[in-house]
Amino acid sequence: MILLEVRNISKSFPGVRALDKMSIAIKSSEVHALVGANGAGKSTLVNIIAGILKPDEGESFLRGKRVHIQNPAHARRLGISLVPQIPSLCENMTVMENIFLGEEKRFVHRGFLNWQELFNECQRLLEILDIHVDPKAKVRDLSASENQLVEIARALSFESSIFILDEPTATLTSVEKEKLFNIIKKLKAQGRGIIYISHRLEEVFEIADSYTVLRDGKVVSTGEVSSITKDELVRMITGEEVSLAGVKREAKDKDIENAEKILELKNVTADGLHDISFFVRKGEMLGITGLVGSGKSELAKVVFGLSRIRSGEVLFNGKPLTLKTPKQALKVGMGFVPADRLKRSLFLHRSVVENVSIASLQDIAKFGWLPLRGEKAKCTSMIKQLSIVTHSPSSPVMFLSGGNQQKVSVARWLMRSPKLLIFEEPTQGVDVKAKQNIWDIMENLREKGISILITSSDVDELLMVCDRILVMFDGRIVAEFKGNEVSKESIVGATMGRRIK
Amino acid sequence: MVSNDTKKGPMNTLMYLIKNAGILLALIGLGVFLSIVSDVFLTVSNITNIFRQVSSNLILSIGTALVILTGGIDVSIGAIMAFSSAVAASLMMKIGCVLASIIGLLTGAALGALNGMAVGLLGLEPFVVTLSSMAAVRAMTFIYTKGYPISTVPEGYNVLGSGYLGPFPIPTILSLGLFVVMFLILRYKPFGRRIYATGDNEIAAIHSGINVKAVKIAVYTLNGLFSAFAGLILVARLNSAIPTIGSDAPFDAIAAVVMGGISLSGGRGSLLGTLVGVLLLGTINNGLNLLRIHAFWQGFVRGVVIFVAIVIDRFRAVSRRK
Repeated sequence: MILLEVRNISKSFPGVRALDKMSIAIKSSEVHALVGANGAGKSTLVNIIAGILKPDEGESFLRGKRVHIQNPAHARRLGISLVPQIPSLCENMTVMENIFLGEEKRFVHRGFLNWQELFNECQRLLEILDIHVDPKAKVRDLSASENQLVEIARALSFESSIFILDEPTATLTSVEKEKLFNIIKKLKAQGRGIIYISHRLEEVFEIADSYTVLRDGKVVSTGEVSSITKDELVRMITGEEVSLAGVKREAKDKDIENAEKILELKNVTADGLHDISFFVRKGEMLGITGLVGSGKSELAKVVFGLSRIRSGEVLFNGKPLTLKTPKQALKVGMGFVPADRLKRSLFLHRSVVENVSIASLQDIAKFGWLPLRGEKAKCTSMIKQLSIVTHSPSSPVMFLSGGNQQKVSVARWLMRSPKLLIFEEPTQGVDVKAKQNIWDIMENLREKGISILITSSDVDELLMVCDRILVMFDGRIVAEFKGNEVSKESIVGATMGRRIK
Repeated sequence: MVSNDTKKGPMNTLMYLIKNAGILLALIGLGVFLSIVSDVFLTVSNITNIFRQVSSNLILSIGTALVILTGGIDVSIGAIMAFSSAVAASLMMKIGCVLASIIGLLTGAALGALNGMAVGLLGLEPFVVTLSSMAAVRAMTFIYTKGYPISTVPEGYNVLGSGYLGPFPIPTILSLGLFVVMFLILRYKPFGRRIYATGDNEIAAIHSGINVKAVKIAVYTLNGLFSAFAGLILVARLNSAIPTIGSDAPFDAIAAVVMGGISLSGGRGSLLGTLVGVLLLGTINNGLNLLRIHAFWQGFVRGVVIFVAIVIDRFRAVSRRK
């Protein structure tokens, strides 16, 4: 049975035709994967279905009846729930308040809100979903993945018939992903329909029954997942031949093994980290993985001077380094490209030039004053070098696409000719093509002798690009692998605390 | 990979002007209106007068703009102005005008630095911090002066407030001079960029190696310094330090800054707009006097105009985002 159908939907934004007379149908008991490159129109489509945007033209049918979806609350009443790509929870409210936001009247008796009942209901919901989050915790204290899980719990609390999941696994670890997939399977068994958006194509093949490929706002292909291959899917998404290729590292292995150590941590203990010892060699690409809470993000913070070490020693270029602020890390030649670029890296209202030059102002300035033309010229050459697509170097960064924004934060460090760059989840939420692009950039940097430290929960990514991979568990480094002699299974095993060696 | 700017037709240019220079158009429109209804408005002496009258608000607005650009707010400037000018005026007969003025300026800077440290180092809300320092410093002013004006200001000091250099009033030269210096610093010094970066995205600023605590302390210190400077000019103009002066100062300064297009959420806007905002406010006051509108109504008109300016600004922001 077809639950939801949209026909000939079009939507334009100034200068862009985001959707061009596209149609899609979602059946009950079906996981329908919606795939496409960044900017293909996926988010626009689901925002229309969820009532956040209004289409310029086209019709929607719910169980065969024509509907006009007015707003998100209306969509929810019709039984459509959206888990947005970027969690949109109220940071200063608790988990349970967020989950039942706007639905409090369910718990109101004689004009008063029964908090105990709300708490119990929340607890019940989280238990069913096997999500271990305190209902009374403030959302701002949650990690990115917990945020995502709460957002999913919120969508499920509505008992909807159609669920839209926009990049739900972007911040999830493999264990949490399994949990989510179990939930999805349950929903499917109950006869509900799921629209699943993801850039991770292996997930499409793992969980989806049918697929629709969007490109430039149009449907390129639609059908059963079992009838296509991954390569075909990639081709349809990009419209050209792209094969995901890792870096040929065998040839370089020897050189790297003999290179000097650029960064070394000896017995470092800090918040969430216990007795950490490791090193990165010059020109080496070192990956660090682990579950959320394993300490990999804390480790990146310590190395970049964002949180202080309690004991232990940090050596940079063989010399001891006391790191108290990022400024000091910058000075010795480190750069940090954080995962959450909107929050932690970019100045959205400032121009591309200002975003690129912000960490190099002292070097650009002559006698304390900034030569604006010289600054622009330097940044423009960075823009060219990383092929950042922007209307003009003076455009605010907020108008750039996600992949290009990511490159802007890389360009910022490249200006400083760094010795070590830390990438946190470098390809989270970017499409296949941009992914390859970012890997190529990292490889270019490495060829220039820049060492690269990647923390990522995407094990496939690390296997593809890294020389060595460290696995963290519970604040410790529990395993070390050579990038070319390890299977995904043993890494994933180690992330869950299975001791190796 | 940089594409050229799309060509702008005359219509687009006009729209661009309305969107980006709304406040300037308002100033010009008001000027034209006042020139028609009043014979006095468009005379050299009246225009000079406006520039002199706005000089203290311009100085205060420059400091306020710096603070707001970092995403903060400072409502204590009027109190700092009153206290530091009282300190300076009380010392002038004893240690001379120059030294007394320097001590006055340092007093203002020190009080500003305290605001800055509370905001920067302790991470407290700027509004609450400066609201409490406003109350405390104002009280300190009354304690120090026992509530009476200090009129022991030497002859000759009033040059600073009422003097002329050629045809130009000295306060105008001083305030415009400060404006030019701060405009250049914001545009061409790394410090200026750090102010914008801190206001636009504090966390990203920290990640970019910016010491945001130092930036915050610096802007509140400068704001305190400039408040004292404006206070000294007022002392010179009135030949005395009055403990109650400046009670409206933060509101006029914030109004001028916001009308001039600097976003209260920080990181956006230019000092050029602030200058226009200050002039608009000054022209409104001037016009209300020329049209002999009762003082009770003047405050009302000012309030309405500020509100309208902010509403227009809001719609400009929305239309730009689209």
